Amino acid sequence: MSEVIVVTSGKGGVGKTTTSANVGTGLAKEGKKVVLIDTDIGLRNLDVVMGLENRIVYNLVDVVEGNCRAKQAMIKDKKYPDLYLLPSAQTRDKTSVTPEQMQKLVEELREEFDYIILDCPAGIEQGFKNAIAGADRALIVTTPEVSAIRDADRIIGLLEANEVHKIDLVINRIRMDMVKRGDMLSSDDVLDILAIDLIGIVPDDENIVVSTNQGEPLVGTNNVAGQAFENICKRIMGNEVPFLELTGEGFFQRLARVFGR
Amino acid sequence: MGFFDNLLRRNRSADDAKDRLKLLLVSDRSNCSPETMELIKNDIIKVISKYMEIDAEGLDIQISQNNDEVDGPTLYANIPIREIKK
Amino acid sequence: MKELVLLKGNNYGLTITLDSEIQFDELLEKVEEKFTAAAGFFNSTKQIALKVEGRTLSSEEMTRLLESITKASSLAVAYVIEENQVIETQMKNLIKEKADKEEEERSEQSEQTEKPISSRDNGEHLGKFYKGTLRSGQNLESDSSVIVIGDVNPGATVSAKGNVVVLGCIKGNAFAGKDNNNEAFIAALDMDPIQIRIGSKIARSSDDKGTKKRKLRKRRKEQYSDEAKIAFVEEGNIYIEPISKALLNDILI
Repeated sequence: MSEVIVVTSGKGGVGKTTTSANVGTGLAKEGKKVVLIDTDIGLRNLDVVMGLENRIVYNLVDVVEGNCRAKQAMIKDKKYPDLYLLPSAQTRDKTSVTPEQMQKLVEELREEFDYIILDCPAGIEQGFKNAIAGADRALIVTTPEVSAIRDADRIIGLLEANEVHKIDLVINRIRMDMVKRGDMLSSDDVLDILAIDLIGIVPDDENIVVSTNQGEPLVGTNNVAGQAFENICKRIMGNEVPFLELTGEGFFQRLARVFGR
Repeated sequence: MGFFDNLLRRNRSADDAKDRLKLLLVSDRSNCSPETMELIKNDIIKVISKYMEIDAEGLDIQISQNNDEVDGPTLYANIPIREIKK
Repeated sequence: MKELVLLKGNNYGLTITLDSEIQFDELLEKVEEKFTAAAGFFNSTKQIALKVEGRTLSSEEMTRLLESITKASSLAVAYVIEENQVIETQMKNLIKEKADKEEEERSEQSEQTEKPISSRDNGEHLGKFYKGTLRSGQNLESDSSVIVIGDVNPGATVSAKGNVVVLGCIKGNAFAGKDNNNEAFIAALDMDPIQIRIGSKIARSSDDKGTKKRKLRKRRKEQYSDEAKIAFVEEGNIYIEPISKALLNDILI
């Protein structure tokens, strides 16, 4: 049974693309057949984060417009043969694709893939509508900041209005030292406000920047962010995995564990 | 540790964030301005106070978009009662 | 006083009116004088038709007249039309015919000596200039060749039916010979593309640029030793090599 997951946030720069890349790669690592679709037409990025930018021949708009078949446009990952990327077009804009076309494409891909991950653009305009059109469930990415949480709340409302009911929260870039000091909202605070299921907490980690520089997702590597993403993938697959114990730098107390409500 | 906590609590920006967010989201979710919400709240207090003594400070009203039972937004009011007037 | 020699121009040539009484040698001197005086006016090497009026010349006299004109000006007389013979439109037709014929001859000639070129589209010899940096999402397309004076950034694409020359750095995509022309080439002062395509062939940058390229970049920045490179197709593969005289000699345009 295949599942279509849209990764969205409302606000830009909170880590949608990083999350998409790592979740997609992580699921492929677990032996699933995965396709990542970059729906950010005009500002494509997922190809760079995946390190596949040099292989692009056709793109999403080409597929939708019938210039090529979906198979021709999908790029096989360097590391995982069951992981594919359908890149977005850089020279077009969001209106080049309609929600109906996206839905049709996603339905077509369902037959072949276990997971279809849609990397959604920031904002709530056409690009967002395209991305959520065919989605079964959503991962909301937010950071513990007022602006990101406010936008996440708006997105949750819009998703519900569009009949996407399975919505999970990824809290990204949390800094336990700041939480401990009381200068950053804790994951509990965020959950309290947004009142949706938590699926992962990803600590702020320099390795993310390094991995983006190199074009290799860090899921599963031996650092906290890599672990966190791996756990998110397991939870997506329906496994119960306890949340990581995140400790603040310099403070060695245990921090609140949050189990999905 | 407790001592430090108390000392630091005075300037915890996370608490500010939380308070601001809660207020913000109420109006975001309802498409009502905080002023309108405040007016609704005051009117509710006025009406209910005729019949019972309530904790005006603890009163919390919210407009929620997501509800399983009814379509469209719903107004929730949480009104702590101190004493029912006889 | 009656002019002994009168010149009158039209779009396709010259009408020369000659005195009928005067000695021919004397007349010829006057003709030379006239043309020398008007040298500034007649300094084109254009082919013209010459119409002679007022005097009937023998063929020997005609030859001498033409010699004088050639001596005194740079004009080339393609046709001589004797009096009453023609009107302007006919002059025009004659000149045109001659020009067309020469064009034909010229193209025939090139076909004999440089076969591969004539088989290609004429438009390819033309080029389009673009000045400025092509940024991500920008797409410069041309039905001819294209010369970019500036950089092609990652995410930008320059594509041409002919050749692509970048006087700057290619850090994005460059496609030459869009109509499956594998003989097209791509040249750049700094060749660091994400992807290049020539005709039906595709080449992409190496995957392990993370470490290797960064080091390379660093070194480059320090020394400014950028080497101009050229990409071309040989035996079905795309090669990128530093531009050398030998390579340029092999290029067909």
